[in-house]
Amino acid sequence: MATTQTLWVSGSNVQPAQRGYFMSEVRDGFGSAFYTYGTQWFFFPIPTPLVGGKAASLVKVFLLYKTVGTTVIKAIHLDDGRKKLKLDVLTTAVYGAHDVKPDSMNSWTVGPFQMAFGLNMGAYVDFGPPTKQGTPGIELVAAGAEFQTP
Amino acid sequence: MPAGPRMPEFATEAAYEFDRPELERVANAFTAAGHHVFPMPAAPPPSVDLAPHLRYIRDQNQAGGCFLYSLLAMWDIMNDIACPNSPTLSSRIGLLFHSRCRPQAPASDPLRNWWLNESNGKRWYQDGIFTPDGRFHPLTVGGWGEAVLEEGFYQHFGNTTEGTEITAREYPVDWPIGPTDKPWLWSSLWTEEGVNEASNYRLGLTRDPSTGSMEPKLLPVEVSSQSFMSALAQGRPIRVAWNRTNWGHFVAIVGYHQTSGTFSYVNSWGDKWGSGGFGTFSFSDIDKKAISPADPSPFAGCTLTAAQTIEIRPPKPVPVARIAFTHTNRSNVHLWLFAENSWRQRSKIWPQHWRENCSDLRYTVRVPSEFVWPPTDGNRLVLELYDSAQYTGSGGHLVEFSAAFGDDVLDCPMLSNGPKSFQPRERLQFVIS
Repeated sequence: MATTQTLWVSGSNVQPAQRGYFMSEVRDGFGSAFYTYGTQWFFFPIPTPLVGGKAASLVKVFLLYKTVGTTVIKAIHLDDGRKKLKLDVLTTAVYGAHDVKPDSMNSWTVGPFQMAFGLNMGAYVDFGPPTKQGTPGIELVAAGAEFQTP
Repeated sequence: MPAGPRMPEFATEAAYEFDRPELERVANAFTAAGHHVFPMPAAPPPSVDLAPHLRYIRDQNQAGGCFLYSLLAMWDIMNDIACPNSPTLSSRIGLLFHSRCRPQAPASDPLRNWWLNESNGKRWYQDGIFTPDGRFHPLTVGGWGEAVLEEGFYQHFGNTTEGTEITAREYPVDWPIGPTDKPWLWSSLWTEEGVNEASNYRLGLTRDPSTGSMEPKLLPVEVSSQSFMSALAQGRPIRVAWNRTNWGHFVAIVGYHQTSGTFSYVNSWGDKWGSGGFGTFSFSDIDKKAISPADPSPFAGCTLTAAQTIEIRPPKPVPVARIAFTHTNRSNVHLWLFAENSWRQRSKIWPQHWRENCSDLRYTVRVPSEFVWPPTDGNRLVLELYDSAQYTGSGGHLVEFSAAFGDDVLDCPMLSNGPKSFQPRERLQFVIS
C-alpha cells in the first residue's frame, strides 16, 4: 500500500549559486537571510527516501520564504541527480510572507516523478535593482517535499 | 507585485548581472572601422558635466602613469553612472602590471631591472604575467596607455578597488625602486579581498576593425569638438593624449560648455592643481588638434595624438562606505574601516601613498567582507580617523561617512549636525549602526 511522507530541511541548508561580498548572508535560528541586488539561484538539497530498495515518487514541493522589498521568486526548478524533473514549477512569480505554514503561494503539486538519487530544489530569486527603499532581501525558512513510497 | 524597479539613467537591463552576452553585443554596436563617431542626440544639451560622478581626484605624484589615472577617471565616472555608489578603482594592479611589461624600457630603468634581475629567477615575468585566477596574460607590444589593455588584463581578470590593497607603508622596505623614486606607486601585492572583487570591475571588449574579432582595445573617438560632445552627451568621458618633443600627457575630458566653448578635463596632478584638479580646453584646441606654444597651460606646443574611450561591464552593486573630509593635505589623515567585533585585522584604507598635491579626499570603498549588511547592534561599521599632522598641522573636517548598498544609504548619525572637525594628532571613531 502506498504511503506518503514529507521530508523537510531547514533554510539554513540553502546554498546560493554565487557567494561574495556583494551579498549579505546571515544564518539564524529560523533559517537563512540574504540581501543583495540582481538575480541569484538558491539550492536546497532535500533528502529523498528509498524504501526497501524501491524508489519514491515526488508529488509536491514546499518552500517557506519571506521576501523583503522588491524581491520576487521567479522560478523553481527540480532536479534529481543529472535528470531535470521540471524546469519551472511556478506559473507566475511569487513574493510576500509565506514563511509560517504551507499555503497556495509556497506549495506546489508536481509529478509524480520517480526519484533516484536525491532531490535538488533550485529557486531563482530576483532581488531587483537599487532603490531608495532599502536593500531587497529574502528569508528562506524551510524547504520540503512530499513523496509517495510504494 | 512590488513597485517596478527604477533604472539608473545609464544602465541597461543587464546592469545588475555579470557577463551577460548582451553586453558584448552592445559593445559591437558601438564599434566601427577606424574612429568611432558617436551619434549626436537629437537635441544636444548646451552643457554636459560628468565630473559629479567622479569622487576621487588622483595624484600621480610626478611618477608617470597618467595613461592609467586618466583611464581610471573615465572608468570611475562610467561605473557611477551605471551603478551609483560603486567603489573607487585602484591603480595599483594596473601600474604593477604595466611595470612588468617594460622590456622596451632602457637598461637604466630601475624597475625594469628589478623585475629582470632581482626577482630570484622567476623568469616568467619576461613573457607575461599570471593572475590569481590562473590565467596567463602574454606580453605583447603595447604602447603607453594600452599596455594593460593589450593583455586583456582588465577585460578578463578585472580591477581591484581602493581600500583593498596593501597601503604603502606596509610594503617591505627593500621593495624595488620605482620611476623617480616612487616605489609605492608602482608596486603592489594581491590581496584576498582585491582578488575576490576584481571580476566585478571589468572593461568590455571592442571589435577590432581589421579582423572583426572582439579584442581588448580602447575605443577610438574621432577628434573633433562635435564628436567629443556626442560622446560626452552619452555619458562617455574621453581620454586624450597630448604630445610635444620629449613630453606627453593623458587627461580625461569629462564635460563641455557650449556657451564658453570649452571642454573640461580632469588631470592626475591632485586637487591643488588647476581648479580642484580640473582644467579646460577650448573647442578650437580640439578641432585644431594643437595648442599654441604661447598657451599658459602645461600643454603649450602640444598636438593631440589620440582620443579614446572605454567600454565597461556595468558592475553589480556592493556594500560600500562613502567617506569625505576636507583638509590642507589629505596625506596627513589615516583611515581604518572595519566591522565591529570582527576577528580580522583592521583594514587600513588611507593613505595609499604620501606627499600628494591634494587637500581633500572623497573616497568610496567597499566595506570589509565580514561586515553583514545592514548594520545592526554588534555588527556596526566603524571608521577610525587619525590626523598625523605629518605635513601640516591644520586639522580638518569629516564631511561624510555613510554606508551604501546600491541606493540604500545609511548616514553616520555623528555627522547629522554637520561636518565634524578633527585636530592634529586627534584620533576619532565614527560608527554607523
